[in-house]
Amino acid sequence: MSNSLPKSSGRMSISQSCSQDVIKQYSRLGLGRLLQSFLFFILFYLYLLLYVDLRLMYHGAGIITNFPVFYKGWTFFLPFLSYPGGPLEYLSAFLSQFFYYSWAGALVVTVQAWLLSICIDYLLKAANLSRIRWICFILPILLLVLYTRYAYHFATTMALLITLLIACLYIKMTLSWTTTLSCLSTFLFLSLILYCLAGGAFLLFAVICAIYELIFRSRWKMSLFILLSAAVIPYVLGLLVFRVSIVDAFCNSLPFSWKILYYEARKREVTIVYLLYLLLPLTLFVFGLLQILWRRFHFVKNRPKKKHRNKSPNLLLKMFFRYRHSPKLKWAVESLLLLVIAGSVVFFSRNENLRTRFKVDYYAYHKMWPELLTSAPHNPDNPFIAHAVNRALYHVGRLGYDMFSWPQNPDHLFLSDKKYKWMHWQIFDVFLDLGVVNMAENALTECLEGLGSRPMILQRLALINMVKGNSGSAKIYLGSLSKTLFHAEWANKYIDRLETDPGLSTDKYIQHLRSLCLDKDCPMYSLLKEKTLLQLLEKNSQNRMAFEYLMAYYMLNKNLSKFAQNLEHLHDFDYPELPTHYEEAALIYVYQTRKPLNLSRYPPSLQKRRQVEDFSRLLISYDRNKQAAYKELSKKFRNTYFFYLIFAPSGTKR
Amino acid sequence: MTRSQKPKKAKIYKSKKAKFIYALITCALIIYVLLCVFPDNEVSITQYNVINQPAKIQPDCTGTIIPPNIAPLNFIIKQKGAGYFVRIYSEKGNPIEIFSKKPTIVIPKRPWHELLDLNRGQQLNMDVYVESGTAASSSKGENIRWSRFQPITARIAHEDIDTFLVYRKIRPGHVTWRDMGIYQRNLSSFSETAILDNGYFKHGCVNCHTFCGNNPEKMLIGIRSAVYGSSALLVEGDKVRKIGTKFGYTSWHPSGRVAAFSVNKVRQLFHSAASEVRDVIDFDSVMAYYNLDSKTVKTTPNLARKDQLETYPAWSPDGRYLYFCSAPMTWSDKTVVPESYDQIKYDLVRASYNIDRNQWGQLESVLSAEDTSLSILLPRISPDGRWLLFCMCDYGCFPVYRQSSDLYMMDLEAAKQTGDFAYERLDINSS
Repeated sequence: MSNSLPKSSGRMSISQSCSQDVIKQYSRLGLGRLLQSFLFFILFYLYLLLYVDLRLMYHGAGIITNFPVFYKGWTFFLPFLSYPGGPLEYLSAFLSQFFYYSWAGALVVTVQAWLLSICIDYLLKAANLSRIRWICFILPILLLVLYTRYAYHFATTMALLITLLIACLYIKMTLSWTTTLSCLSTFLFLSLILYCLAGGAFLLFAVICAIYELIFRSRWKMSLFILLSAAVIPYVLGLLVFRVSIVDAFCNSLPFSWKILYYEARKREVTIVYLLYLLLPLTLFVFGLLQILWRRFHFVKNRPKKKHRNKSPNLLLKMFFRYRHSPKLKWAVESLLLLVIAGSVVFFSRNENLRTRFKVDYYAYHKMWPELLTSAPHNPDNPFIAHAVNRALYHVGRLGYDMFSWPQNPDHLFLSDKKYKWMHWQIFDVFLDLGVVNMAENALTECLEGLGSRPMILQRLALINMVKGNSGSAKIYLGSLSKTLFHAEWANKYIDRLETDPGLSTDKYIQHLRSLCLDKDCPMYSLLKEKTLLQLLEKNSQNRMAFEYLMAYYMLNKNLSKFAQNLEHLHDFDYPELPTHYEEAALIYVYQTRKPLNLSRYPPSLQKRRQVEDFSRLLISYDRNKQAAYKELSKKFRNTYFFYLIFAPSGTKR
Repeated sequence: MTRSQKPKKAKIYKSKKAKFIYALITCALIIYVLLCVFPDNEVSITQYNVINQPAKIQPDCTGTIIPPNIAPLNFIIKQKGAGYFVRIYSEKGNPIEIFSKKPTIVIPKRPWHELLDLNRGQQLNMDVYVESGTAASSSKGENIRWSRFQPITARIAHEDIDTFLVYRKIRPGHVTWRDMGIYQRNLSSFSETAILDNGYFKHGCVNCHTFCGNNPEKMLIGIRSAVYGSSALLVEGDKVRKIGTKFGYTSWHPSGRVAAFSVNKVRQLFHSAASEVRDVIDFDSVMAYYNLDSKTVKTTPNLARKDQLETYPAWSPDGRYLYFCSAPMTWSDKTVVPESYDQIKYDLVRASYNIDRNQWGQLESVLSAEDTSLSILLPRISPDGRWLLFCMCDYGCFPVYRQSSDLYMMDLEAAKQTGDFAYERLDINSS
């Protein structure tokens, strides 16, 4: 009979039994918590927006290899329905696209974190563990660590969110039900939905429900059934209905899926995701057990002892008593503690070098040269950053003047060492700028395989095919690009242009690239640096980048005779003055070989000559002991080619 | 009790009624939206201008032979317009009429199959009408918005095509890969299913796959995996067995007891300025054969000459000859691309074979690269043994990457009579 009573009647009886003061206190407490959450998540959002800058993650820097692509239309959507966890991957792919704009990405992540904390809060309340509700902030803090370290695990955290939402729904629906059958059917119904939506993440749902039923409802049979169904549902649905492999049936969408663990790049910070997944079940299990133990202990011991304790005159206890009974103070202390903990965790988990690499790569792709040169000094020794800096220096017209103000290495100019063999992402734009479009195409095609059909890659591939006159291939890339959310306009513009002007004769950039392209074909495995640069200059003597990179290549490899030979190309360009480093290299060449060098348009600078003499004198004063002279030479000549020539690694690598 | 329950019941009744009304309104709205999105496609064109050329469509099926069981040949009309109307008809049956606001023409499956099945051996016609954005005036002064192009015609074959086509699907990568698999496509519909997806073995490589005489019960698939090793998989019915050898290009003997295969030391190279970036060279290659009864791999001197590259095996349907391609190997260093890489040209040769005695005959030249000045590759013999189809390109062993690659045909029956292996370039090649 009591089961048939409407819910509201039960609620009424509770509220009636509460005094008005208690209600007020609760509502004040609720408001305080709301305000606390609001403050926390506002700061959360601002941190993501201003420090992390999620568009850097969208860009990926070639480090994030699992950032999903998203295309409009059914063709892209339908395959996601063919395997468990597919709908969630689709949703994650869609939401991830908002990372394109830092503010939108930060909003998506903040909402996700906020929902996670609400779910945890609700589940703890349902388990009568409101005292440890501060745990609900641990998940957002762990998320912050993930984003601070630029690790992309959005799909797995979305799976976690969906799982927790469904768990809340299960508890909410079964809260007032006492019959096992209705609970069972609800669990099965929600399980089926969750498994289709989030794949293996369903297992977490089952574990949470099993713990809840076992510890907080004391229904071990129900708990056992849930655990059994956790084994059966993925098997039946995954293997027999969706026909995926057994590993995928159980692990898809989980952080220990082979899709994550098989790839080194995707494993970054996966431990934090494990913590995210384990936090709630462990909390429920441990605190649930403690609760049971405490209750038993409570019944054995007498209560008055505790009262006696409170009357102790100890100052600390007094303060604690005051803290416990002053909601405002409690709120202030808790909020402060929360912010301090969150701030400390984030502070100690940040990786400035990694952040700089993401920033530099983003700026390099978007040709934001001044920003790149401002960010790069935070981690200038990184090969990829050094490589990007050289490109930026060329584009701002300072390569010949400032390149030795930055750390240099012969391998960094083209990332030519074997260890960079698979670093295609970082290199394609240099090839494109130089006019070696086939090498750029090669690198981009490798990126397409390694990083997926990211719009940035499709855009470059479309461009290259338009430069090469392969309009058929270009249209395929443009067609794909036109289905993306943020690059469709660019693609449609070129699709229309190809219709009206198939040769793209009016497109200045394409015409410029065509004027640079190599016309002499030769087979190669990797870029033949010197040969290719000379061929580029032969094709187009106005290819300034090829010239400057050739000179940089000779200087970096300390090949001054070749450098001197090719100085004649200077006349093809209108340098207002001889670039500083060229002058330094030329002077050294003259000093070393005792051969005159004719730089008719650029008379020798007396100041430079003095500088080289000073350098030489200083070195001799240390008996040509490089190590001994290093400190003093470094003070005066660090930014010169003389210094590089003496102290840089040998330039024998070709 | 009754007093207190009466108003509650009334409330419930009200809420139910309200829910019902809301549901009705929602349904009506959905129907309205659906009607707006998918308006009635029926259209009748009574007046039109006649254009004396066929409409440009892609893919263009003009003049093709269409198997009656093939899936609808959907196409895009490459003419600008505000609306499109296509009428597909043959001698018998109801014509199919499609109106579309977009140039993409999607033919309904069932009427298409019915029309083709009813008209085996007949001509299939497609009338294409395009609606212009602005009305044109006719000689009678009427405003005409539609233009009718010349009909596109194709012929419906008498015979059905084999229902399934099997292929490897992979992105056009150069060195690395992520997702790939062997898939089958039902040619009567658009459904595609995986035979072996590399997601099943942690993104390994799945490559050469060969059926024994188009029999889906017996096939070989090559896999390469860092975790599971590299091997050919022999599929016989429901059983799959690993053969501890890598198979390259493979061809089944018609008896199904022997499979000839090549072992290739492949190297990829890139062109700095050519239109196609990629190129492939075999640093070395030999031919071998696998005997299913004895489960042994063997070769014979004629199939594995040290100074020759051997590849692309193809058995004659009677099993008496193994055709393959062979080129002289003029370099000793098998680690670097030889200078003369663009001079490597393959001959087409064959060797006789007696399966009962496991006996190989002498090598016989079928077509020499010296005579054709082109590299002869990928021989395939028709099931009746009469026709030999092959590729020829300017050099090398990988015609897929060579723009110069064309298809050629040789009449083996005629060659038997005359002793001359004459061949001709097929008209279907692109210009």
